[in-house]
Amino acid sequence: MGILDQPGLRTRLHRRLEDFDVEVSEGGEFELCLSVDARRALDLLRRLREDSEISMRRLVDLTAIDRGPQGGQGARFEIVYRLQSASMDSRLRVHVPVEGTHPTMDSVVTLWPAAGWLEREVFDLFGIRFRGHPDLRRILLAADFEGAPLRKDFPRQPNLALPKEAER
Amino acid sequence: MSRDVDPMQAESLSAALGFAETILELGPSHPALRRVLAASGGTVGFLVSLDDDRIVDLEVEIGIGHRGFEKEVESLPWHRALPYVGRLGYRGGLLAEVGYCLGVESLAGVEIPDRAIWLRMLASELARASDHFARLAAVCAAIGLPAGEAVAQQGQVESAGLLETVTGRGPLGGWLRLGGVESALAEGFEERWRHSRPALDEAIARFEAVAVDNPSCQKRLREVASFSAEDCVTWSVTGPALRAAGTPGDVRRDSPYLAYAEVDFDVPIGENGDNLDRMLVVVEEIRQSLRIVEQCQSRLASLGPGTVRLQESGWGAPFESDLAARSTSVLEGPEIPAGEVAVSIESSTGELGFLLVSDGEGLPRRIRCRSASFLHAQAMAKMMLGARFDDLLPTAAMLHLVSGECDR
Repeated sequence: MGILDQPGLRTRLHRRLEDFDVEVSEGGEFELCLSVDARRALDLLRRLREDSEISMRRLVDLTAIDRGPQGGQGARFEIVYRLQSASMDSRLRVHVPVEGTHPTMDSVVTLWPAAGWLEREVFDLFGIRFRGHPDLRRILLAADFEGAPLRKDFPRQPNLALPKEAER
Repeated sequence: MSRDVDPMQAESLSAALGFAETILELGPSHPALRRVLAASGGTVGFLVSLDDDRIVDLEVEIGIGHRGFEKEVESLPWHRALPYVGRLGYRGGLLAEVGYCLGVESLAGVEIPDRAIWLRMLASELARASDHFARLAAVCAAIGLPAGEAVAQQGQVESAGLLETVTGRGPLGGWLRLGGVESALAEGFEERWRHSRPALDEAIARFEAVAVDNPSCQKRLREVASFSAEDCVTWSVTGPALRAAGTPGDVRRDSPYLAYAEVDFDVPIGENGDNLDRMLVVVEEIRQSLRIVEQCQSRLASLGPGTVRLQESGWGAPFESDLAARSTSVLEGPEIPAGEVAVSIESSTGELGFLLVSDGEGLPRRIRCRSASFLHAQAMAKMMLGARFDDLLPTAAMLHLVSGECDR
């Protein structure tokens, strides 16, 4: 397997994604990063997976970031995809800002089946919906739990206890 | 009874008797699970649909051990997340701490002292060996091989003991610090290592004799829960299960962190991606971990005594005598500038990643933990289709679904 080759990936991304006009940036020390708006996200992700020279065959992780209720200018939520190439020599992170307090994003389960549970977790903890997900329901929390705890406006409740069976 | 099936020609017992499939609910506190999964730290539930003893559908239920890890650590200063991070793993919690520290240090743009790098590697490999032994013990318990379980337990105790000599602590960690580690290599370590290394080699050899080379053990594991290299990529399966399928994917090799680029070790691979190959890979990885420990130890000896933690304010510099400044430094920890980083390490279960986002305001904006157990639990439902019911728990043990990182 190849050792991580970031400059090589950067060149390939510039060449193969010309029509998308996305900015490739350093996403920290270990991987490259690019940001794309929600409308074109699914097309870009598909390209990243199918393109023979980029070939991001493995979905490493899928999560979300809550930039805060007031949020400043941009969108409040961001969906983050971490990808790795089949040859394991490149890693890439894709950020997709999504608008609104109850956003919806296209599911990527058809591209990466591993996204199934990861999207369920984002739905569970952030309340973000995924269009086209075959089985979108809570995964870590109880089915009757109310709220999305990883949102910044959900208060931390260290002693939160579920109601006893009899009180439900 | 359905009339159109000739009982003598039916494909399965249920068809012959005209039953619908049997549905069994196992766990999360089923005694069988407790025996096997308590040994691997897991609390997974299964909803199994059976046709005879063949699994036709499996739903893996997780979340029973959910403790709101991400919510909790996002409401504390960066350095106070460490005790929570150490509880993500079972015997390998220290590996999660290594990943977290690497991420935060990269975010802050600081370099830790050489000694700390080698000490972290040494401790990581001992934690890996210990967790691997625990996994093997759980597998042996699940297939009813007490001899193998006992030998693996011995190895686990021996390697955990070595780790304890280094950290001065039990398996829950607490030895790592942002900016380094708490203490230099304890004086007694070298002697203990000289004494333990042969014992560990012996444990591996005996485990191979009683389990790996044992025909009845092989029969229970061969061609069970096979997952091809392609399936592993599709379902984001990593760690020993990926390598057992023939892909030499190992974060320590593919994107070297700490000083893994400077040590010699092999990445063992299998061919068939079944439980037997997974066991072979895990056993060989313990051996490779010991090889790395040996190299770390000699490097540390040549580095000599010196600092093991970054000497900067908030990162481990000696406390100011001023009481106010001292409490500020303990409570607030190091200042982390705005930025974001995603880091991955090779944990004993597979790829463990952190996505860290800071907006420079003291509290983290986002701490995300990507764990192998979560994705392996998802993949397990696919792996088990068509397998025998008997193979469910051995596979759960073999995949080492650790509740700490799976449910978080």
